[in-house]
Amino acid sequence: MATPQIHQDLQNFQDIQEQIPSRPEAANRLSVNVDLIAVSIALALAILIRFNLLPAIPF
Amino acid sequence: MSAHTIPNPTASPVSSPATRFVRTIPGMALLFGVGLLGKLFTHTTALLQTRHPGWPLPHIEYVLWAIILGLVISNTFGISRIFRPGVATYELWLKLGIVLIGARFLMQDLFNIGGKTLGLVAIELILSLTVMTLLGRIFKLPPKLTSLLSIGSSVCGVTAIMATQGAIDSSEEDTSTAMAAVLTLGAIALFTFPAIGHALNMSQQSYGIWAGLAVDNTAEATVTGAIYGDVGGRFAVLAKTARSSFLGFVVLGYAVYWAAQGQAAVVENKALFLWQKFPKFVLGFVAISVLATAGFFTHGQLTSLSNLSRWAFLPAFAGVGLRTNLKDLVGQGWRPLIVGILGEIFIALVTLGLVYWSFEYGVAR
Repeated sequence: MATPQIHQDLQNFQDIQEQIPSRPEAANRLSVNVDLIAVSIALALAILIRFNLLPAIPF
Repeated sequence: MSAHTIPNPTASPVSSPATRFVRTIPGMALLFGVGLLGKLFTHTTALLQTRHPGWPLPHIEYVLWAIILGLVISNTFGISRIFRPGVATYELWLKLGIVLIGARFLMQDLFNIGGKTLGLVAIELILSLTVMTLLGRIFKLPPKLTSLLSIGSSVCGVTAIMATQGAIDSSEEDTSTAMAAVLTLGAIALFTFPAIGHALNMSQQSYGIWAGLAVDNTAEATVTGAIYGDVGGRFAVLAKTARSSFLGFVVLGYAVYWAAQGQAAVVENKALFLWQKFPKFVLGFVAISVLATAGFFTHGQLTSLSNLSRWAFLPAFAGVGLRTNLKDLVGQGWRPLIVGILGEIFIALVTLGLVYWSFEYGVAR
């Protein structure tokens, strides 16, 4: 009957894993990746807008 | 399910990029849904005010609606596991918005206003590092927690704390306490700064720069500026970006200090260390600004880029509310919070004085 407890422990473990990066290097790498993805998307959008491949964007 | 069918987390296979992307979709839908709902509320309120001028309806910006809705969802229903990976993408949307908003700053703006702002950032850094260190000693906080609080409050909040954690080998407990203190103070700033700005009748420019100088976390600084107005938000981003660019130097200073104490690894290659810690999105912000200055875009295209940055900020603002759990924030012990509050009040007052002195009669935008 230990299964529910193990399952709960696993859920808790996965929750913690999703909330807090366990290693600083991993967190740092993640942050760098987010920066690079954001810059890449922004430059791609800027080029699409510059060459009129995207219509005017309202807000 | 029997016990042996439960996957072992330490041996679980790495999910593919496609799987990870699919896992973010519900949370991203929640971010955009909350942001759009905030926009709808503002639009509806404005419409009702036009049709029924006598009704006492407050005008609340979509930014504030998005945060309030996010806070309500997060603190009543909680964020289900299915939404968490997607809600965590708020940082990506925030940085995308910051890079795109570079289109609204010409290089001459960056040199004129940004140059003055850099001077203020330097003063703010020295003051907050000194004051936080002194308060940490007075309140007898663990030295590494004091270092984390100092860096978090002087440079760029949670990002700075995460960048420093590895460099000074601080404990997980100190790191989470410092992060909670910074996030709590950011949540307080969201509601107090705009009220102070209105009470002092501050211009959008000076208010935005004050928010960017005094609010620690990039997300909260951007939101605190944007609640005051669109231009306020832009200048908050400018000041915050200038602050973030100092990240590598401050973290390096602390890494060298703790290595000299024999309590952290020695930094072998300082130039590489600086590059690794430098927030790369700042380069994107400057690159877009250079393109705008060089006349790469027409006026209409610049407007489109600016509107795209607003669309990117929309889920980021919702994310600030959704990831703020008030119960978690207040449960981290009172001493770090007291140190944070005292230090932040001091920094907010000093930067307010500096901004008033430097910008109140500056270029009106």
